[in-house]
Amino acid sequence: MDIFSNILAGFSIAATPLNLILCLIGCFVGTLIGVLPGIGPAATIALLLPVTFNLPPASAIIMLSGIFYGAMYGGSTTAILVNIPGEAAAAITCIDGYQMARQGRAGPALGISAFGSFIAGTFGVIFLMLLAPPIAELALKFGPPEIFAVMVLGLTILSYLSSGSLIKAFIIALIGLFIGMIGIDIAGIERFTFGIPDFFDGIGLVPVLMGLFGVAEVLLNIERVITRDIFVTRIEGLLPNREDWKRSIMPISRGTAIGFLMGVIPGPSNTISSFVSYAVEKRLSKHPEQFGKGAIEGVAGPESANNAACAGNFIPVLTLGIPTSAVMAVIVGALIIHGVTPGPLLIKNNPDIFWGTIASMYIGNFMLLILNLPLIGLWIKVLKIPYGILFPLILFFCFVGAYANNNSLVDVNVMIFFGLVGYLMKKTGFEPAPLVMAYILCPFLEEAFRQSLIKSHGDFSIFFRRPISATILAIAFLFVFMNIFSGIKEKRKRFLEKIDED
Amino acid sequence: MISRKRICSILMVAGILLFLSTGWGAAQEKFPNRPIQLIIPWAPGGGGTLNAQTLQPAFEKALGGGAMIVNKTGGGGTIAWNFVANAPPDGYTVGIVNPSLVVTQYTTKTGVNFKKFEPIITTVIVPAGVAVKADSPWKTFKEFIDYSKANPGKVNMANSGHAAMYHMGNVGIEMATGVKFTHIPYKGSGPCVAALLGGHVDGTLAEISTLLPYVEGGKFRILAVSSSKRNFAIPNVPTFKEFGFDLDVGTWYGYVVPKGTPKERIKVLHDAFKAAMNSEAFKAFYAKQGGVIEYMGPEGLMAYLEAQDKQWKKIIDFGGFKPE
Repeated sequence: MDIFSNILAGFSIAATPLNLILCLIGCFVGTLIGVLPGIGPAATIALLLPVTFNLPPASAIIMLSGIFYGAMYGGSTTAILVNIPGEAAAAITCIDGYQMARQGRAGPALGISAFGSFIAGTFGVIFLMLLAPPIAELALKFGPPEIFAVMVLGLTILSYLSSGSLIKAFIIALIGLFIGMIGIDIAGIERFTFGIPDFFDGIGLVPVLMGLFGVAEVLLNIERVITRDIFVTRIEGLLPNREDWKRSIMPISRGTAIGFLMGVIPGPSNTISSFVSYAVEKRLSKHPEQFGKGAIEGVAGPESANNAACAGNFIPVLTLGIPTSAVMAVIVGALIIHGVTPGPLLIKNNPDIFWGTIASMYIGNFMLLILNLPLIGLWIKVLKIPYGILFPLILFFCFVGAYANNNSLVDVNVMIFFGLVGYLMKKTGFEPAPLVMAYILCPFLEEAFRQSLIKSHGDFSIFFRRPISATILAIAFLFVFMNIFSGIKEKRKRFLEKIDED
Repeated sequence: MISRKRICSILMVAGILLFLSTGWGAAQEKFPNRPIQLIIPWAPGGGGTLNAQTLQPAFEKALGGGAMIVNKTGGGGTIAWNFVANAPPDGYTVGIVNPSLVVTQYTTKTGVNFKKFEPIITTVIVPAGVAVKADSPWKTFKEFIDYSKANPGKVNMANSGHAAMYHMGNVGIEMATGVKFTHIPYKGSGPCVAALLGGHVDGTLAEISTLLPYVEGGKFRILAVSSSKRNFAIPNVPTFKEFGFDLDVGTWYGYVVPKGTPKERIKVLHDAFKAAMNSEAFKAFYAKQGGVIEYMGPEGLMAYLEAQDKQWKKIIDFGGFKPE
């Protein structure tokens, strides 16, 4: 078979000593920046690009992609330990991962996220090998109406992202949509920018996340010094046990499928796929009430999804030269600077890069697992650092990260502002996840909506005439309908029980 | 009586002053004595960052000092440009500019103005091309324009952002040929290419470096290019000029410093950039991209900026765009 000889050729490239070392360096750097809040893979890859100038192109791409998927591994670490998502995609991991850590189960949480990432990453790469060209063709069919439909579907899962009051979740989601509208819209009109040029492109995602999660968490913890000993005394086991595995295996498989498929769609697919996976797990779970209180499914699913999405991300880039995210744009730039033309001919003209990179991702995922498992013991020790030292350090990294993200002081102020907002939200029982989800979706939702209507000259039927968008919208409506129906059923049941008691 | 503390603090202030004054003296003697910042208004991976990254090694060598690439995105480039314009005019803050600098003067209220800079050099011009899908019915630019004229508003043209350069470029085509497109804004040239590949738009105007891989891959056809001469990478494609109009909408990359930067420092930077432009790495990079290495010194770039200013103002007035 042609494909197997290609894969073998890929491994022969990826397994040279130089490329193995570069892959390891990439994975290690990736893990590191994944752990550090704020400093994301896009900036790091751009920064390290000159280092690769003298390397062969395939080796350079092997190292740079290692940084990307390494960061997805590392991103969950701080989310679980201190409730700060190292990467946007790990925002959802905060919910149950941090609760697990508070219950002394940081080890299993970190462990399942490493294993989940490994399994998803590996299967993602296998899918990538087998299905890249046909999936890329399918992805091209996603025009504005289809992307709009996907975003609507994304909004319908909002109700699963909250473990508290549904009304509060919707209120905070609306605020998220509002924040997402700040900036210049696609027709060039400024909205809520107050003339500040830094807001023209919208409020930055990184400072918002670090404020809502990181700074707010530090502020909250200043109040509750007493609860501290829970962390130290009850750390049960470093790795997931049999029960954990039993509960996680299906979420990991579903997360892999969701992440891979969504990774191909343009937009912040890593983040969205992890949110979608969380919602799906909560919907399918037999004990949805445990979500938000430390359910391991809520860690296993999303962490797998965002790693599988990495593999999905590479498809449009390697097969068509089209970047679907900021990180991929930098990878495209790296290819160009190395004299390789990303585009429809890449697989044909540079098979060494395509197959070498894919094979290296397989090896890299294995390295990451080996790298991350022993680190779990070390990470848990982080929780033993006295708060008086840990919290100033967290704040320090947040400030550095917020500034380094775009070399902008405005971002630091945005982070502080959202830190206060996050604090007040926690105090009043609002949760940040629905806000983050709505805020991330909003620009894509609006852009796709308006592009569709410009194209159709204002005719709304464009969303229903096209088979893909019509199907996705139908699923979204079904989702909402089912939700309302089960809500009514629940209320009725409770009402009848009450009558019985009387 | 003067306390010991007081003496200490006086000594410290004196020391700091001494340190500063010697530091200043050294700065006047040798330029550069610390790393130069190259401020890029766009995200990593884009054409501007790649231009700077390709120049960087040879530039540092010729300069005999370090150069740092700093990406400062936002506001369609205006944040970085205002940052450079307001930076101390000491030659240590250098900005990269492209035609958007001229366009945003008229489409934003951010106070960006090319006259706030001292130009140093231009490095390259990558012409823009009108691309359609390879399986589209239009074989030539004339057929494309004739169809668009006969069906006003029916042809969807993707652009890289509302009121951004290539949107204005499409308006420039409308102005020159009397057609009417439906303009669909995307975020950057990459999404435009994806939209055209998927058949969600009929055509796009973009720099040919972005389009070439898809022409080679048999997906796109370029109908016309914006340069005054035919491009070496696609010698069969006619220019706008051959269809009877001038429209210089290609992407060029130049470097500038804040107004008031000493002439001798501009010369140091200019010479280093010029040496870097002649490096093999830079030439080889743009040979693949269809980029024409085009040298203009400080005066040449100023004259070019003025010509660009006139051209874009005419197009922007025609389109009725106002700063928003």
